[in-house]
Amino acid sequence: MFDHVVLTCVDRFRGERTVSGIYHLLTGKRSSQTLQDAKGYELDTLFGIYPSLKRESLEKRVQPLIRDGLIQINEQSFPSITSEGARRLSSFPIQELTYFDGMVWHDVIPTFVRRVYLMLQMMANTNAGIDHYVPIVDDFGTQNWVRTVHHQFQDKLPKMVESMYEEIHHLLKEHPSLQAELFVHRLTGGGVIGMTIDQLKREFDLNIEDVELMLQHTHYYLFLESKKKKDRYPVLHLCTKGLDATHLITRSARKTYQYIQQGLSMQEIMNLRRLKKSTIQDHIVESALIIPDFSITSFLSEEDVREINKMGSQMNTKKLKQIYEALDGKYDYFELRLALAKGQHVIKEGMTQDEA
Amino acid sequence: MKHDLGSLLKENFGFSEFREGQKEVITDVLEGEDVLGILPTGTGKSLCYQLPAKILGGTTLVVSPLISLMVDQVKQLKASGYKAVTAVNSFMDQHERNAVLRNLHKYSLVYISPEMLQTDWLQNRLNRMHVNLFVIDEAHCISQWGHEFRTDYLKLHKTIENLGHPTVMALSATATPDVQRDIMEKLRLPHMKKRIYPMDKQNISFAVEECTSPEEKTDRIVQLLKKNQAPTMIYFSSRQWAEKVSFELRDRLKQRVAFYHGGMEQTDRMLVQQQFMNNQLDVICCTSAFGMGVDKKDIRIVIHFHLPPQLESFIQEVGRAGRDGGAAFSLLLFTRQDHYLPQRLIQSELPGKNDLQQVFSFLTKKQGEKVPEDDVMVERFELSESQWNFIKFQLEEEGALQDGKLIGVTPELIQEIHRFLEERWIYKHNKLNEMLKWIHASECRREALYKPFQDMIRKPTVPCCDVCDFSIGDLSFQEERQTYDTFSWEDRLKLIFKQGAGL
Ligand SMILES: Nc1ncnc2c1ncn2[C@@H]1O[C@H](COP(=O)(O)OP(=O)(O)O)[C@@H](O)[C@H]1O
Ligand SMILES: [Mg+2]
Ligand SMILES: [Zn+2]
Repeated sequence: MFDHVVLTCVDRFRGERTVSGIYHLLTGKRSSQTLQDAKGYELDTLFGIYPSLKRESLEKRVQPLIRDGLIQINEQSFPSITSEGARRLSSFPIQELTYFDGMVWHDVIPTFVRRVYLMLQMMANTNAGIDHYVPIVDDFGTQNWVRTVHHQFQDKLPKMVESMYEEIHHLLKEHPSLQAELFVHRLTGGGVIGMTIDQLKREFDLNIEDVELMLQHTHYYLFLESKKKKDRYPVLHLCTKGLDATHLITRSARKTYQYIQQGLSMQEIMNLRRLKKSTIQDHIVESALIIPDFSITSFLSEEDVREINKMGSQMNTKKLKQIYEALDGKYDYFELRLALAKGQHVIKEGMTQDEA
Repeated sequence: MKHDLGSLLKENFGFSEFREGQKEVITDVLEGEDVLGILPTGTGKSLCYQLPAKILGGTTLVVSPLISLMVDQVKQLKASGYKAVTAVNSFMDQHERNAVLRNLHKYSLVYISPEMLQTDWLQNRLNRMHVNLFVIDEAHCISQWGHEFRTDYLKLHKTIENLGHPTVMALSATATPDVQRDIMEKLRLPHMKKRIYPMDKQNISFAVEECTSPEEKTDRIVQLLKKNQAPTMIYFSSRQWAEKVSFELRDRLKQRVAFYHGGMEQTDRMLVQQQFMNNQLDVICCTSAFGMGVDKKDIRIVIHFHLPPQLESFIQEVGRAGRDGGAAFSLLLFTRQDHYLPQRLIQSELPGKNDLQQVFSFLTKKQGEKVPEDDVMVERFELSESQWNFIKFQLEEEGALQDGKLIGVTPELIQEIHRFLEERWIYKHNKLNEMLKWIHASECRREALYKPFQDMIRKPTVPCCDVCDFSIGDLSFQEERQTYDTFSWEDRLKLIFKQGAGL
């Protein structure tokens, strides 16, 4: 599974980003570069799905892909996919990772996961008559949350235990079986202690990264399904309470965005916030990426936006330098980035309209 | 004030009788007497202050040297239903720490590290509370002659004074008469009541074997564990070895083996501990990081793959076996090369003579100035953290370092510190030599092991040792075990939720 994720990134990046770019994407680095990449190369579902990934592990996993001829590395050390790699990519059972939706949810998934594991332990232990146990989740906030649930639903607990079992069973039945195995073997409760990542890896003969990604995929699956269907999965749904989609915009960028909305010029914002021009420009691009209805007409006309995006798609690249040269330096780099960021939404909306 | 301690014990902890020494120590503090309790590992020293904490009300403060140990204890206590307990440590996040500190007076039992205790804001906070009992766990850390000397422990007497001298209880499992004397001296409490109990384990058989290589050690363990199936701990001096041997044992044995060390991720560490407690694991390969807070009663075999640096650590680690009173077995394996391992450990703890010279020639020029930050010093002179701590503490102790400023770094002072350093080196080497002497001894292992700590060695209830009457070949542990690991996910989920028949 991890290989597939890496190949997908390499494929979409079209030889225009380094392995580091993949690393930043998967670990969810909050830089405007990474955010822009995620959107621009349509990798936003994979953004931040693997925050604990180690750089060395990624490097190590890339090597065999090169050796087996699935990807190649060009002179500037940018990886790109080979035809063999593309074949491998298309043969992957895609349903095994369709639930990833990192850009929107990666921020709240860890909280959901902690709640589920601790709540499940609490419920299963109550059910088994185990009163005294060491909580599987150390986090203070989660423990408080579960305690509150316990208090609030005290008399409904037996019903909830039954429901939780049934919800998880039902969901996992519809899920790839290896992923179901990993998830259930990781659970602790009812006198059964869960396995460590290392034990799972050995028991199921997998790589660490595959174990962690598959677990993570199952977490997204449980989250999204139960968030959507409150009545079908009431207990899991409870664990999604208060966990909302994030508009991934840094606080600082938000501030700039608000000033622009108030009609301040770039120069005024620079003076006011005592920030460099390039920083403010980053903020503007970031806002354009994340906030679909952000109007940028004070920087670029719609005409300009169209021209730049047209050139980009004609040349089939997101590389600023190439577009810059092709347009004979008519626009500066900030304008190019801004237009491409804006173009992102236009394209997407266009597509959905076509499909409809 | 008289208490029916027996029923209080039953009521609060569910035990029907006290273990040897508990009642005496508890009675002492209830009567307001400062007490030094030396009770062997696993007897239940914690209960000696947990029960008085309930009876006395107010706050009982417990100074404990290891954060991991504190956190484990607090978890265990909470798990057993004792809720008014907390550990103040540097690992807490801001939010959690604030919540705890705001409500500090509501906790009956507060665990704290000696470093934390020295901070002003905490002392102020404590001054406004009712500290009725001041406990020093692992009190041998106070003594330079104790095996885990910790400089921060030396400041405890000041804290006790600042708190208006609450009743003091000092506890340790391994303290020679020298160390006992030193503890009382350093606490400035010469009239402490002494409660000393024998630490020899009557239900453990001892054996020591020399091997020619690490591979031979592993072979020996495989051989032993093929014949014996029971909860087993194997101690290593390094993480790498613990992992390496655990993989090999997993391949060569039908037993369930895992490793455990301080470098593991927090959740995984807890899972391994719990699996072992829950008999989902048979063999655990670990460093000394394991076991402190772990209280598994039915450990039958403890193996040392490497030499511990002193007898005290060995005694503590062996003491984890057979807490239920049933027969248990200790095996120490060594090669000639192993003698250097603890030596290297000592080197990383204490600064060398050259280090000291360089640091002082630097510091002498800095008179009247602030000492650079710890990590700057550590980096500049390529010291380990504990090496720099040693130097810094000596400077403070000799009054040459006040409020971070250097005053009066004199040649006499430098000489004094040199002398003290030498003493520590000699001390540590002597400790190691005792250990080496023990493994090469030709007399009864039990006698030789416990003799420095107590006058009389009791008669064992099991075969004594491989010098006396014990042969490893006679060992035969065969224990039932359940396993969940081959279940499909559906069965396992049912088991967790106790659904379906027969499970
Ligand atoms: N009186 C008693 N009867 C039975 N078990 C006890 C008693 N006192 C303590 N214990 C148990 O003994 C175990 C070891 O206690 P602990 O305080 O960790 O030992 P120590 O600190 O002396 O090594 C704990 O599980 C504790 O619950
Ligand atoms: Mg103890
Ligand atoms: Zn003997």
